Amino acid sequence: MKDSNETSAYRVTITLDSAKLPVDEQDRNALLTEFRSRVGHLVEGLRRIDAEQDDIDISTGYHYAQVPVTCPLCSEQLDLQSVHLDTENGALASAVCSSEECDWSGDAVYRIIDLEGSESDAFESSVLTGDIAPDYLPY
Amino acid sequence: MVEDNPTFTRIEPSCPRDDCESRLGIGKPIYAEEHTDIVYADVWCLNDECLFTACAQFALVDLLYENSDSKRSLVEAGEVEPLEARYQY
Repeated sequence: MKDSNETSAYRVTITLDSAKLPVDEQDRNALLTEFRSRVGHLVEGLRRIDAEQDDIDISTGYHYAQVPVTCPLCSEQLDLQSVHLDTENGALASAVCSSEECDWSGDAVYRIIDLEGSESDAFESSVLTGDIAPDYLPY
Repeated sequence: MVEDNPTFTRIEPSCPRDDCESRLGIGKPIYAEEHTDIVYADVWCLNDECLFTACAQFALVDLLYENSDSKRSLVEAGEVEPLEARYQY
């Protein structure tokens, strides 16, 4: 049976969709600062969550997840090679640690995060133009 | 909705044009020069009547380690922490 007092270090993500924010940058920043402050007060009042205002980050727009190209064993750079499509909407590549003293090897997993189309001379991100919205799926 | 796992980002390879919801064909993926954490591939609408073409951007979202009989996600195992990257203008 798990100890009910056991904790793990984790990140909590709260997503707010359909937020109408001011276009004016100063107004928007002031509003976001107040938002962060209010969330901070809520967190500080929560029992058993040992977090402070400085632990809270607030930003607008979409983000994507990315893992660093470093070996999980020794933190040296990984060599990624032979990228190929997988059977879903992504790709796989072989991953080998670049250090001669480390024998870690595995696979790298890629996912499509954006489409860059060109209606004129400039390439445009379909996510930034609002043509597509990314999904956030649990690992 | 409450999740207790880290999430990865993905978009469905379907045509973004308002009047078309066909799937996209995906070409051979290639690395973005020396940046192996980003991969690009040509994509095109599989609907013959739609002329949409674009370049798909892939991001490195996980590493898999091969056990004796299966492959294990290192993000899920807590051995690799994903970073958050912003879409660039």
